[in-house]
Amino acid sequence: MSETVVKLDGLIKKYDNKAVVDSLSLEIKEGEVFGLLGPNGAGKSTTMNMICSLLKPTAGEIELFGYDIRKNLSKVKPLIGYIPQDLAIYGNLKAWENVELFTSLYGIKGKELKNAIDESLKFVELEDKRNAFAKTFSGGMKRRLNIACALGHKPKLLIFDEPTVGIDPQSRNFILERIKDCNADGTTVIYTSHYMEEVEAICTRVAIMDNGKIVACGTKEELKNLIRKDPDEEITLEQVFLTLTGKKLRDFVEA
Amino acid sequence: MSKIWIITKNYLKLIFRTKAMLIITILGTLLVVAAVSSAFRTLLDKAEQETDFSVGYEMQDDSKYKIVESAWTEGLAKENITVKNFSKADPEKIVKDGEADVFVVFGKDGYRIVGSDKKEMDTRIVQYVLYNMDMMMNGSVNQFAFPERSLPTEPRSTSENYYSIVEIEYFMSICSIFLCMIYYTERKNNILTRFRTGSAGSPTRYFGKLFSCVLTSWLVQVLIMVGLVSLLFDVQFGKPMVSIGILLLATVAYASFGMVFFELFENSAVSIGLMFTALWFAGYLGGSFESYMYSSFSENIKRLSPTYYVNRSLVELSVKGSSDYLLPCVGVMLLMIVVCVSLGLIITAKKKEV
Repeated sequence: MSETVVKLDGLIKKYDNKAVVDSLSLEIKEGEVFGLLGPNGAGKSTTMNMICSLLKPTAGEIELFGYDIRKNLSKVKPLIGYIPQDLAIYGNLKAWENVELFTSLYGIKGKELKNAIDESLKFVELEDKRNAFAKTFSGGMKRRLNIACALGHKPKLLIFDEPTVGIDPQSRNFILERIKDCNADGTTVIYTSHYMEEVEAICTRVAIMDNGKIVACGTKEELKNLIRKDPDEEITLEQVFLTLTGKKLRDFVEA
Repeated sequence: MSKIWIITKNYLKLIFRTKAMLIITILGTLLVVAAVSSAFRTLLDKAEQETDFSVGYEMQDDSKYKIVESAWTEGLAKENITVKNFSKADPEKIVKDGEADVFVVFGKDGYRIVGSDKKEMDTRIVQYVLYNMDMMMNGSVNQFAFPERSLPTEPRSTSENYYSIVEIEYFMSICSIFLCMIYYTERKNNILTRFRTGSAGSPTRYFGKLFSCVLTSWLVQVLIMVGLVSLLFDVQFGKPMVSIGILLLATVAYASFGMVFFELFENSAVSIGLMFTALWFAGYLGGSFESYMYSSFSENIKRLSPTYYVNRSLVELSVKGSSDYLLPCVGVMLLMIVVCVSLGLIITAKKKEV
């Protein structure tokens, strides 16, 4: 039986007494590519931020790799690689220097560090641009470098927060392929995106969130069966998403 | 500690790749030094001349000093001290009205000196001369001797020396500007999120910034002082190791002071504006733009500025080799470091949550 990598139990996050994440319970197993979907303001980012220890939960438990993150943060952090939606790289550093910085902070040094830099840049196919400054890169190249910076320390859990926003189809396809490769190597992946076809292409299991709660969770087929009326009916994940969360526009202001 | 060094190294790379900032700082300091030392040279030279003073006297006909009257007037005149003879004068009124800085009334067997608190040094010189006159009349000395005037008066710095020292110190006080681009990039690109999820806590990042800023500022100072200013103006720093120590303390204090603004405000323009305003006033009171020796501000107001203590210590070390302001300066700088670093760490810790 697969090890539980992420376990959320009764997770609550409140701002001004309003629950942004409301009694969320969830388990993600080792080797999964887990899609977290939801309209704007559903609570996805807040949930991810709590998993990454960027936010303290108001209540509830978070266990990563069997560790309670409140008590074992230093043990848990090296196991996570976070790829934020924003490009968290320095334009005035060269590609290899960006990877070096974020990898060496995990205590990796010497030959191991050099190898980690080489492998990460090769993985995102930027090895021939290693000496170029990040500010000279195209949007797609910056996204790839953004991913490389989270790979150097070889995390066991990768969290992608909308990694394909604003890039061309080729770059998007490349990133999705690389996520599959990471997963094939045994890395567990949590993936959020508003592009349903991406989620459909790479995720093994999906949770749909709305108003801080999970409204549905399961494999893609299990979710489609929720709204399928005829066994032969072709259902897309987008149809499931719109049926479960509604078609009303979601405007929200960040807390 | 190794993580702080990793971050410091990274920030140093980023700072040195923003070459415009470094060049502006070095050239800016040199231009300001050249401009203000030239502009204020006249003022300082005039002040130097003002050390000459005038002595009024009244000699009674039956005074025993009558026989040395010509030696008295000629001796003083030789030292560029103006001598004025009065008869039936009101000494207090003459000194009060400024007709003479010191007045001597020669009586039958003695003399009376009238001076003012403001001219205490001049009065003491005259007193010494009169003592010397007595000795001469008693046959102890043959010649009319004057005290070495440089001994009782405070030595003064040249305008080049003074403004080189205080402008280097002033430009160093805004050294946190080197971090401006780093704060801007990290906020714009949300890099802090990556640091937070990684293994670099807020104290690590804070000290990385502080150390990189201090190291850069030091290198800039060395370039300015040793490489350029000393060649151009022959600037004399008294007791180099002590001066370097003061500059180090001041650099850490000012860097941490500037960082409070950068940590506190999300907006770089607001941070820079407020920091510059605060440091401009500190520099203004401390003698960075006008010599503190001839400043119109009261001593109590000037003492509110940390720049004042640093300037006084460095300038006095330069001209005298010692300074009474050294200990207060070290105290003020240490206090500033403790307060600003504590504030900076508290603010960064408070921002831990996104």
